[in-house]
Amino acid sequence: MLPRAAASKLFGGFLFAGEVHTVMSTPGTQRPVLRARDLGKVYRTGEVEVHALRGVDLELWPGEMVVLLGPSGSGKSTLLNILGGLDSASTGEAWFGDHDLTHEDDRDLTRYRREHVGFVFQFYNLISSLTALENVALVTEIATRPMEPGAALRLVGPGERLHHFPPSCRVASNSAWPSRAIAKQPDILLCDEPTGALDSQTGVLVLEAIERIHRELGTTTVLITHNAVIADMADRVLVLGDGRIQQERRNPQRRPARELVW
Amino acid sequence: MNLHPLDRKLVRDLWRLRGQVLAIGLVIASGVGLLVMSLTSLEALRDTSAAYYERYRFADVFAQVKRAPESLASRIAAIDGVQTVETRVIRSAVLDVEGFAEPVMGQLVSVPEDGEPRLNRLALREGRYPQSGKPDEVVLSEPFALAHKLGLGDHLRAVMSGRWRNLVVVGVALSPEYVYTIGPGALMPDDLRYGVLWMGRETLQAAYDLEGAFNEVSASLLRGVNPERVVVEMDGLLDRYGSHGAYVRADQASNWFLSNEIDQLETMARFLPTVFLAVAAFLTNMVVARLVAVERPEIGLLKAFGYGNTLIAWHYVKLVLAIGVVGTLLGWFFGYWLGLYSTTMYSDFYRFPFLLFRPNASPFLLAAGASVGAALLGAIGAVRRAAALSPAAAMHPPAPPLFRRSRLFLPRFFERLDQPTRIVLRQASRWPLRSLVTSLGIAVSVAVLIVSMQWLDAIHRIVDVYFLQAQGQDVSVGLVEARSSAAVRELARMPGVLAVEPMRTVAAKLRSGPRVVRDVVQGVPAHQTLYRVYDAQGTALDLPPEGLVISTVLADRLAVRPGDSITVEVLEGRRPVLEIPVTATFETYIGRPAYIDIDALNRAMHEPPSVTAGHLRVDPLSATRLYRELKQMPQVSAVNLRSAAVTTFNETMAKTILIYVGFFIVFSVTLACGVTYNAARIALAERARELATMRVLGFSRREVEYILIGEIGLLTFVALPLGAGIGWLLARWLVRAFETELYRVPFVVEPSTYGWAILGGFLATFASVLLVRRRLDWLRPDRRAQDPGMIYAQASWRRLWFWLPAFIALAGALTWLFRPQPVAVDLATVARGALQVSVSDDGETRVRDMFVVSAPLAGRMRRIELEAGDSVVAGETIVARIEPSDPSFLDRRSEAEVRAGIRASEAARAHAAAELRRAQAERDFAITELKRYEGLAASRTISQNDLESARRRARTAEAAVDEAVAGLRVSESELEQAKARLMAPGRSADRPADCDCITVRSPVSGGVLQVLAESEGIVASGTPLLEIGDPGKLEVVTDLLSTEAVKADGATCAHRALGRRQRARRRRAAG
Repeated sequence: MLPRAAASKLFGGFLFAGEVHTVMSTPGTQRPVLRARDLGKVYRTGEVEVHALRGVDLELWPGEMVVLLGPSGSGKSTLLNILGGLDSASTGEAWFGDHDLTHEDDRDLTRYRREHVGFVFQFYNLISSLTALENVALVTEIATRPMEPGAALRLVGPGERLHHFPPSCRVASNSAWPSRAIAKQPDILLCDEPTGALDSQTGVLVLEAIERIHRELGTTTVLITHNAVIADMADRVLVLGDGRIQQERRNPQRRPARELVW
Repeated sequence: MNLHPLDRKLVRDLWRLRGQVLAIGLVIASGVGLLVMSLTSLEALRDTSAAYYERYRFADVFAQVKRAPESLASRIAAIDGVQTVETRVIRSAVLDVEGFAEPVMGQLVSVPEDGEPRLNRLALREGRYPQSGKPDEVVLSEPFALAHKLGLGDHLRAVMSGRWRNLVVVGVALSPEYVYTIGPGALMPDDLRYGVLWMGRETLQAAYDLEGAFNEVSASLLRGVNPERVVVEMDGLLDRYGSHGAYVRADQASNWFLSNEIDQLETMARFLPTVFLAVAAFLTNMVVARLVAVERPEIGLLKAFGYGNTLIAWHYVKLVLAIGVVGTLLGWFFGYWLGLYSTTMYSDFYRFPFLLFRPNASPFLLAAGASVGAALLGAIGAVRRAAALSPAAAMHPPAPPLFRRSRLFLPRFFERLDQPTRIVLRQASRWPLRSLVTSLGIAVSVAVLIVSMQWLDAIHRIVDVYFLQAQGQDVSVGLVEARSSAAVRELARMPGVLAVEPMRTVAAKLRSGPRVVRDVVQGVPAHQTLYRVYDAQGTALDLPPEGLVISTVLADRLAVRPGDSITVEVLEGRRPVLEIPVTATFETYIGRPAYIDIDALNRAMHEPPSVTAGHLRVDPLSATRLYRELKQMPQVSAVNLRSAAVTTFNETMAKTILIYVGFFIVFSVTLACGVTYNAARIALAERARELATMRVLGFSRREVEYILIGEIGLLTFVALPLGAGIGWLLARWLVRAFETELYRVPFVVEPSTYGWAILGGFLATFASVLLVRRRLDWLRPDRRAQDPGMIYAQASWRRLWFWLPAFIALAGALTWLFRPQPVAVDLATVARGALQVSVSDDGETRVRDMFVVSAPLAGRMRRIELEAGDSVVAGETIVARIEPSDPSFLDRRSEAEVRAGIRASEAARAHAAAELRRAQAERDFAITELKRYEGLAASRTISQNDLESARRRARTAEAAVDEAVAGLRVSESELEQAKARLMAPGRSADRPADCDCITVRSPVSGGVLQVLAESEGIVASGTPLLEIGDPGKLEVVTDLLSTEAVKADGATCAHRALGRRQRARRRRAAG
């Protein structure tokens, strides 16, 4: 058990410095965590070709929180899947540090996902036959430097209902869902429309959890949404449209999640 | 519990899927269970019979003889390789058991009075062996004792050598020799009507006049000795004692039947469960593959978390292993239990004294390996397919295939359907492979049902063809040995007998090249009305006047075809070796018979018309009287009732093969249920998301149910006819594999069998769907949402467009399949006619007017050139020539007298010659004197008187010369006469041909019936020479009872028996 106070101590003021806005994400001083060059993705369904991505260039810096904003079908999820090693690009390349993600085989990609990436999916995507705690443990079992599952859960929400099954307990779902992503202490946290299926109240709770993780663990976080309001909580906002990055802007100040209303 | 979360997931998934786990488990269990049951019980049966034979010293070689001296035993024992020899007396006898009307046949087998038999020991169930000096004591075979409820101390009677003997039961036993107690001519054991009785050897020897002799010998051999060689050597010793040939254990009746049964069970145990296991494995594979396929999003998720393919595959392998283990354990348990159960049943049926049930592990492992292997293959394939996708794609439901307007559905027809029905159709058609696999699964389980139930049809057909169509007799009576055809007449006169058909069987070795079959050749009338030569195709065959008609099985064994010849080495009578052509072959279901015309057989045996059995048609009202009389006939060795044979056949089948079939049917139903339930569950799982969406869209629960059930229903409708087709193919293939020498299983699938299988498949699906329907509760999109009810209520009739034809087709098909089947009958036209009462009996024909030609006088008759059968014409045809007979011999005295007579005659001739010379001299002087006197007289020298006197003297002298000449002739004749009396008798042979013979001419026209004196020789007058008569004018002599004789009109009955018989006699006369 790692009480919250202990966690705070452990990570020290450094992590909590995030509250006075980041100083780490300064380009130039560090190497980007993820780089993408001219990424393209074509889906083929029968005779129809769908160009989901048409050449995306992108760099993500350590400790940065980036929101990918765009309407449905703009290619956000595709980009996220490629960055997370869930899908492969048709053209271009993507680098995680020194790893060329676009040319790695299934085994290397699996290791990449296992060791470096945390996912928060649009739908809960929890395994219904496991409790909240077990859903988290499923990830920590194979991680190289995992957190204790209970601690990960408490980091996100109230430390109760750990042993409830997700489908029957909304609270358990809400906490298990993001904490499963961070329990392995990933280098990158990728969130695919975490609020998509939720009402705004619950959505805010989830966003708060993500914000807290980002703040406390300093994980590079990418969050995709079509909800422009959410973009306010990011350091940087990339607007996607028609498979390309249409616009990139930097928020002078991040708004805390609890202030978001939609 | 410190389990890995994945393992917890596994445990909880198993629990969540418990219905499916159980269903798949049942599919696996039915495959495994059936194989385990079949193989273990078969193994137990083989082990038990082998141990039984071993423990009770079942002999290896057997031979029956008429009568052989006891001393022969030691010579048999001296044959190289023979271990032990036991000689016995075995006879069959008619028994009388109180309270049982029908005749009971018993096999009386001798046992030594001084201890246990050396071979073929008895497994005494109670009591003891018969004791020396107590000739009434008898040990009964247990089945017979049980059937008649006879126990120790009970009595029964037996006819031994024509005398009734009272016997008392002192023991009840089983014998390895009579595991299958089959009476002569029977096909199945009938414990009520045939039993084995063991009696003291001395008793039987005394009863059958076999003191110091035996009529059966059995021998056991040393290990590794070729029994065929011993058989040949034994035949050499036994041939002259009336042996039918020694035979090996494999040909011993009980063992032959038993091993045939076991072979048949073995074929069943190898084929059906294998097919079953394969089907179960295929279904398991299919079901598991789809079960895993449903888990695709979870696989994607696990991959997203960084789980490698191996780990994920292992997870599902464990899931499947768990299911497999559940199924296998269930299968093992049921298989073992049923194996034990059926083995117990078999050992009861075969009356083994003990039971060895020690299954070894291989059937268990084999079955488990096949099932679990198939399941794993299915699972791994599905995992691989899921893992081959990128996690992102895997996590999403499979992309719907492009919808194309299928030409399959006519747009017009399609538009008439309501929306949910269209969904059903589209779903089925857009994943054609998946739909096909579901249909195939249901179809295969229907097919397995058909294959299982086909056995009932086949056995029904065998009974129908073999007993009901082919056989018209009610009772078959076997005789102790071949008897003249008078026996048939005797049977015909018995009470209630309406018709009799004779049969003559001979044991023979049928040989064609190197192939030999020891079998029985059955001689039956060319056109049979009762015991018919019946082709399994449904036609009765008439036999050709010569040549064999054999079953195709026998033809295959001997590798002959119609037109080829078989060497028939007859083992009875004069033991002729015959070359007989095969004129035709025919299909049989049971046995491998060979038929020949009974007359042809008797001719080939060089025997007068003989029979060994008679088939009787009996008036049921008089049956009891008939049985009573049959019991009194000492020459009867077997009485088989057809009705009893049908009953025992059905009972035996029920106890052996039908047990198996019953299990198969149960397992098939299990399989069908397992498959359909899984198909429904998986269809639900695959559709869950879509169905939930539809609920969100406002479809009522009933609508959603309809979509799910509709799809399964649609696939079931496709599956049912498909299953019937697969079942047909599978059954046909299996039937081919099931041939034994005893049985060929006909390929018959009755329409009702298809009906039951289709109904079974339909009901299994229906029940599965009902079970799955409850699961739709899950699909409620929101617990608080109100069920909107039937939106499409008014549209529901439009479904009828689609479903009504399907249901009508199903109902129509079932009605058609279950329609009453026509019963095969023999058709005959009924016509009004005069009632004819006939008294039939065999009689002798003879020529009405017979003429005997005799010798008119004594003499030497020349050889008669006429032969019997030649025709003669009155007053023209010379039938005989008679010439004088030879002189008789002279004894020595007569000869001396004759010779003396000759000498006397010679002397008399000399005297006569001298007399002649004197007379000539006298005459010459007288003539000279006369001439002188005439001159003198002319000169008138002498008187006229003197001249006259001289003239008288000359004439007298002349006469004296004539007298002397005649005297000489007389004495010469006397000499010749005397010499003739010396003539030798043989001389007359070289007399001239044109003697003065007397010719005898035929007094009447007609034919020569018989030549009485054919050769040349001396005949006394009145000797009969030949019989002449007209064969066109015959008369028949028959002995009839006087009551019948008064009714018989000579003119009408005379014609009856003529024809064949007349020709036969003529042929014999000509030969």
